[in-house]
Amino acid sequence: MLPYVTLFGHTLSTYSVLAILGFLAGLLLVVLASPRFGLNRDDSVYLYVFSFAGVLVGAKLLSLLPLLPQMAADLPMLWTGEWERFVRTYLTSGMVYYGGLAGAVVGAWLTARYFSLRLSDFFLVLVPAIPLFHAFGRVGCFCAGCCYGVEAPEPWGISFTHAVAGPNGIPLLPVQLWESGAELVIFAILLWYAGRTKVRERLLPAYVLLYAPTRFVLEFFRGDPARRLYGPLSTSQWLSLAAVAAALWLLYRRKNHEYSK
Amino acid sequence: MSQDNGKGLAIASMVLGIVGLVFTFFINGLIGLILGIIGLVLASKSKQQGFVGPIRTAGFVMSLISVIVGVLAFVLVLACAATIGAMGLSL
Repeated sequence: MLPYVTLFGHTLSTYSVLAILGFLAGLLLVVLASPRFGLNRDDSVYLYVFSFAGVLVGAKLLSLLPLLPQMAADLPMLWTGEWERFVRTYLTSGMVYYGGLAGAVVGAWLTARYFSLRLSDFFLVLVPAIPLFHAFGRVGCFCAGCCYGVEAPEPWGISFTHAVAGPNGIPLLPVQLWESGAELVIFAILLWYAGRTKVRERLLPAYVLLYAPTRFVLEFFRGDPARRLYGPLSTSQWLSLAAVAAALWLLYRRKNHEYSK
Repeated sequence: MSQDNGKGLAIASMVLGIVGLVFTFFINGLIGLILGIIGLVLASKSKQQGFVGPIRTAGFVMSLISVIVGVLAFVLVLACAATIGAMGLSL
């Protein structure tokens, strides 16, 4: 729709600009909300920034997983003068959300260990930042034209005119914008819940239990052939089911822990 | 562990943040990005060693800006979104 924007005389990918705006919105949330929950702002910011590094690593690694054989075959490009094409093909865009989520948890956990902090205390500000960032990211997808929906008659479908990662001239469901809206609703619910819950550990499972079913349903409306299907479901639908199972297990374990006290 | 409780690391982080910003905005985004990442790591080490002060905060903030702008500049060169479809991957 709008794949590139011009800022200060430089043409930038709208997707990247929105991703960075999402990161900054999350950072602002962490900075403003931490004192309200009695958290050290400094600790929260370090946890947020390094968990974000985990997002990038996790999202990239999971996206590269099915490409590993092809990537191994292309490795000689690195020393035959084609390293730039190798980087362009494998290391720039192409990210898998669930990989990013797993990476964020691992990144935050490692950072908390490094600074001797209790990670779950910071869920109150870190977890709502996830859907906030993702809402911006999905608008970025819409601008680039990727992650699009199935064909649908107008006005339900929107025809892209300048998509760089999807078809132009065909009316497609704007699933990216639906998901972005859903993320904002999840963000509002989590923010409300964070102000009321006394059990901070519940924030992460609560987010997963809100997001994974939403994603599961939205996948049925996705039309990009790039999504890999395994049996009747897409990769993200299988991962959604696994995420729900993990969230329920976390809640069950927490409940057992409370009873055993 | 150093005897200055991380003050040296905080100063190093701030210097790298400043140099990173200069590289990011005027010379080379990729080098600015790398300097910014090192600056963030040093600021973290300084924090872990117990140093609290505006020098560390300044180092952290400037390194973070170097990383953010460096990512934008580097991604700009490598044309981000166009390869999503080409690689057949989805978010």
